[in-house]
Amino acid sequence: MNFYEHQDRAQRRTKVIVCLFILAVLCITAVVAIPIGFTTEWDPVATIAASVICLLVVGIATLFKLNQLRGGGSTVAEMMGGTLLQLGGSTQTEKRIQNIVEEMAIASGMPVPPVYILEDATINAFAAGWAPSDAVIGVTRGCIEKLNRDELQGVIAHEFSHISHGDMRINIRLIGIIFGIMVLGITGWILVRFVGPMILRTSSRSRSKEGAGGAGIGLAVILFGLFLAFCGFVGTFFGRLIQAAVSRQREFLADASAVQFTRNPSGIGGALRKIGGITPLATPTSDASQCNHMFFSQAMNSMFASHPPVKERIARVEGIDVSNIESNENVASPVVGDSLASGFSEGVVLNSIKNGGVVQKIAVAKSRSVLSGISDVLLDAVREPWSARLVLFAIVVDLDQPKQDEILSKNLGKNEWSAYKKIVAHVSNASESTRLPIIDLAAPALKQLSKAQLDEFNTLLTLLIKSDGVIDRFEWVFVSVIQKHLAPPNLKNARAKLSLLSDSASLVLAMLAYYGTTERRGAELAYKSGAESCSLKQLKIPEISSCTIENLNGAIKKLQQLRFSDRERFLLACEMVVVHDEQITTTEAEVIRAIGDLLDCPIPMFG
Amino acid sequence: MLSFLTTTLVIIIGFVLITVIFVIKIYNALVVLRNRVKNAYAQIDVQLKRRYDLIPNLVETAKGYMKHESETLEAVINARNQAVSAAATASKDPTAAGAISDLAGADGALTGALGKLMVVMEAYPDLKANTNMLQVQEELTSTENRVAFSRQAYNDSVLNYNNKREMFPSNLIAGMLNFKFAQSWELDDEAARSVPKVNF
Repeated sequence: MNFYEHQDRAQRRTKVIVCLFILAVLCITAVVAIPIGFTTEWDPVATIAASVICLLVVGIATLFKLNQLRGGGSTVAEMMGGTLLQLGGSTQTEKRIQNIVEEMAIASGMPVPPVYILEDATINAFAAGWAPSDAVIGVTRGCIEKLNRDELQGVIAHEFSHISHGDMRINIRLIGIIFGIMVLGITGWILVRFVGPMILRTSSRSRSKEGAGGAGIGLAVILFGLFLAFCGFVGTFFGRLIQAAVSRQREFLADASAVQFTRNPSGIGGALRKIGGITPLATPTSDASQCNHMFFSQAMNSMFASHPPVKERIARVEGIDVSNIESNENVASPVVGDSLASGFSEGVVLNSIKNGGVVQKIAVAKSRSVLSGISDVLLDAVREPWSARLVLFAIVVDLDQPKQDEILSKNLGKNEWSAYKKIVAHVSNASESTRLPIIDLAAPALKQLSKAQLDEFNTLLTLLIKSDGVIDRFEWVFVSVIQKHLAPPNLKNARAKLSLLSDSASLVLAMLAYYGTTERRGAELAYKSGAESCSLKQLKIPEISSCTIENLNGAIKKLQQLRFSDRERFLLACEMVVVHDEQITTTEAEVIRAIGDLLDCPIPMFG
Repeated sequence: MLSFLTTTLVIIIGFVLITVIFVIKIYNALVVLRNRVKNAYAQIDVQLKRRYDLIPNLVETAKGYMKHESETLEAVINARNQAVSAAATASKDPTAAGAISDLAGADGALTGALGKLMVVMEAYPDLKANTNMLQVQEELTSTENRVAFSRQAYNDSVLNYNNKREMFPSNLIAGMLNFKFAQSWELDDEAARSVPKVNF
């Protein structure tokens, strides 16, 4: 099963799970309402009130929690008290984890997730977020200090495969619903502990007749509180059971993908061994127990294991015969060097699209070499918010456009402008294949901009791209990618079919066709081959005048609603257009990866 | 009587439940915002460290030329050391009372001392032309810009947190659970005026 199928399945699975939980909540409501009805001889007011309140509470609590988690991965990490790594880390171990995460993100074609450190001596890690563009990686201090590089890479690969399997979306929804049920239990506890005794106390002070009634109410409140606490507990119990059952399978899958990713079972195996050796687990915070299923190993030592037993995981991981892993590496064509002149053969790009979300070892090696090809000045600049903005301006600015320079010099401060000038020199020296990686590398720094700073940045970026009225070349793709990395995540389930969005699809294909060649005839043929491959209605290429930035942005926004299997078809059609003239330039290849990024389909680096 | 009791009970419980949800929601939101303040402070912290690490280098270079200005140089070093210790305190808990205002004061004093040094330096053309000196000055200026930028982000995050902290009903929870007021890093008048002047 490939990335696209995993994503579609994850969406369907989420629906099933949500239904299961709604059923569970209805059961809990019944359990609460029936005794009340029974004791009141089915008094309609009391019975209905009890069930409505019960439903409302769980519903409201769930919605609140989900609303809070809208912020995405960073909110989850911050709720757990994670510290964001700054400037690629200050200690050696922090730098190492940052490097590993960067390498892997660049290799798989997704924005680098910000890394949060949890001050905890146990070995653990988690990934959180709705989509690759708002994912974060959390690791404990123990994890980065006790594991060696191979083991860390295994753990991070495991977390990355949670991202590409769409597990994070399910996880966040689970947190929401289980929280809703948990609130019932907490309320019960408060009734027993505070409200009931309070009523008892006040009623014992007054000796009037109402006092006796008050004592009755007090006792009833305590009894009911006990009952509610019990229901909440049982509800949470079953919630956790469902959660655990879902989660355990995903863990095996993520372990297996991690091995496929690193080609090294001893990496993740070693990490698991170390976890197994370190017992007992430290007492986790209550926040950690809510997010139990998100961790690499279990944060809670309980019978509702969200993770399979470590021993079994080790056995499975180390039992994987690496030599049998289907390898696409031999398909990688002998591309000589990494110069602008060299192209990519058809097979390489095709395979990369099909392998969306799955990273071959060769891509990691490639990403390492690309990273080492980026000058240190740029690497440092891109890791902090102030200069990362300038690097991105430098990337999207067309040096032949004096107007853009004018806009920048007007809007940047004096020092910013001189720093920008230096950065431009480095960017124009860098190979074109480093453009998307640099944008991906800048993601964690840009996410640190405050709302006001972000708005300013976005405004200037839009001003730049619109300065010449027409789009020339592929700059808009890169601008869209940057803006996508900064936009709030898309929370809707993507279900649209390609046939319904055929206008949007043909617009993007036309753009690729027009800018891939200089002659109209070539563009027409290239477009046609792409349109045919994903069976679009319109086989005649749309006019070049319709390829405006507004139209293209609108088209991409619509295509983001596509179901994942159709995203794959669309990306393959893009590839058809680009390879039509039998040569793929570095820019064209990167544009395809950028479109993949826009559609939340990380396409690994081409070999 | 029994059904009246039960209805009262159900209403009490409903009330408690809604309160519980609100309390937890507000508490979590406060935790997230406070943690965001800490992470935004960390962004300033790395830049400040860089700035403070540059200063001994600058003083060392200046020493070779300014034999008779040891007082000015010492003032810079002292101000730098105080700023370093203020930054260390603030990085432990930026929401602690006085931590940020102490740091802002110490950092402002350092900027002042540096400004004085620059004035004195006017009398030493050789020093002004020294390549090492020029480089350190350039880096100081650019670091100053970064500090200002991250300070802006920090102040924005503090504003978000304090607003949440002071608004009803979250102020009740914040008071009960000891969510302290976070200070934004305001430049006092003197410092604010002197910062743009540091065009070495």
